[in-house]
Amino acid sequence: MRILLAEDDFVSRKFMDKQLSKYGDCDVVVDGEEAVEAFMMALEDGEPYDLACLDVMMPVMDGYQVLRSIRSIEAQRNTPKDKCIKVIMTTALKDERNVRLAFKLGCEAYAGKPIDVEKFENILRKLKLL
Amino acid sequence: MAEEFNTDSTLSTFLHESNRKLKKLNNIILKNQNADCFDDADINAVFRIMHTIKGLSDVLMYENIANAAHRLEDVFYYLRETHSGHVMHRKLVAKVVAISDFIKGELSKIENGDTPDGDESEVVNELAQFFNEFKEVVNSQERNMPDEDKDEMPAQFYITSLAEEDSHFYKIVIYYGSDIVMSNIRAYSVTYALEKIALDLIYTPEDLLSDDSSSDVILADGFYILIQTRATREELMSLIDNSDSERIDFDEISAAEYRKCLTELGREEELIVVMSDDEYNQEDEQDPIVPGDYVIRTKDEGKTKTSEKNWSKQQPGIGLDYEKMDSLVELVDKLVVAKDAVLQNSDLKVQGLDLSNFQKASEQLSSIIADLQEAVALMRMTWPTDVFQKKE
Repeated sequence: MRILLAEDDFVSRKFMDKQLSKYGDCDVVVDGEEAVEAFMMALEDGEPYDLACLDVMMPVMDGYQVLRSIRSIEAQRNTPKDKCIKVIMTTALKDERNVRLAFKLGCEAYAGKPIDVEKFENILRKLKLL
Repeated sequence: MAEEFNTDSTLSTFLHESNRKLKKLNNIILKNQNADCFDDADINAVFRIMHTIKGLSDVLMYENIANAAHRLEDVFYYLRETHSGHVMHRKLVAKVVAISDFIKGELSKIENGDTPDGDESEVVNELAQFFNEFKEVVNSQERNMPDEDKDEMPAQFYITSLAEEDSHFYKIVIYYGSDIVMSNIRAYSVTYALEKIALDLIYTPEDLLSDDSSSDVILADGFYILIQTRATREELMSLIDNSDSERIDFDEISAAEYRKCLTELGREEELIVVMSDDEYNQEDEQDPIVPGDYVIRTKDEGKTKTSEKNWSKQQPGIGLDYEKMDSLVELVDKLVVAKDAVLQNSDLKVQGLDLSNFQKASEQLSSIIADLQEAVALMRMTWPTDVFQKKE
């Protein structure tokens, strides 16, 4: 599995990278703009990501902007639904309005930090990534 | 962490909504305990209650609750389609009670910060057995068999954080002797130490460093702390002990009491507010969160594409202040709301209207507004050097 991790906080980044590397190749970016660039580059290289884990609060572009950009790019390219990247927002923001916005923008899951690794893995199975 | 930890309002809403539904179910049970049958309204109500609880639990991945609710939903779907609310009524009421009690028990565990690890298989198997007998009776009456209720798997999931199910909640009040000077600074030292192990930390008085009167408040009433953490009492006390306090009241409390303390402190953002869909939509319209709201402004020169500190040197005499930018953002938000109001207008729902041209135009409008939103959001976090340079 190819995974894109967007996380600006060093400690969170180390933890998530370690966890996600168990499931596949993990590329790490530190701001939202890089996340979109990495997503595009992977598409153009013919090696798209299967999963993106996006922090919400990031420099340059926030996680919601990244998510919206990703979905817009997929819509423009007429990417079939089953080939669209699965997105999990990983954030300490657990306010319901944030969750609703993320769902509205098209993420598959919203994981509150600190991440429950067992449930996270369960989600990956439900999303047929494992 | 880039974000501050917040108490989980999504989980709170789930608990509040589920408990509300169960209370409604309890009223239906009480009404039907001495009745001969479930009427159509009650059958529909139980079906909807279980459908809602199942859906919410599925999203939050409480699979045992979702499974129990789903099984009862199936039964009431069957009742609704076959109009057999009078068949085996008393046994059916007992099964409803059993499922309701199981779900209530699991919700209590979640409220107390425990894992909802109950095994639903016993109540579910008993219900399945009853359902088989029930269907035999109904079939023998030669009623039309309903189509299978389609299972809707959730497309989106909310993963509760470890914090919610594996953490302790404490209420701490530190009292300092009247001879202690700068108690506010001592209190600040305590919060500084606790922040490292806190998942959530609330204290009052809040402004310890710049409000001189906070010291008087602390000496008079004590320094009040609410903390959510995975640390033990002993670990916490080792961090607080150096605070030269006269007395420390230290209580471990439940998650529910913690939330109650938060509301008593007047922290409105922590209030559990459960609204109808219309009220949610209204709240979103009045104070929407939009993509771009959580961009972190960085003071570093590193990755910022335009340099904030060069703005005033490059563009003397041309000012763009945050107030005007915020007004622009507000206008764009209002534009989005107005667009939604037009597109969702009930006047468009008239039968027989050919809306194909309207549809194309509205899609284009939505696309333009989305681009405008994004552009404004980007402008808000970067100095618009390029935009104004083009005008020269």
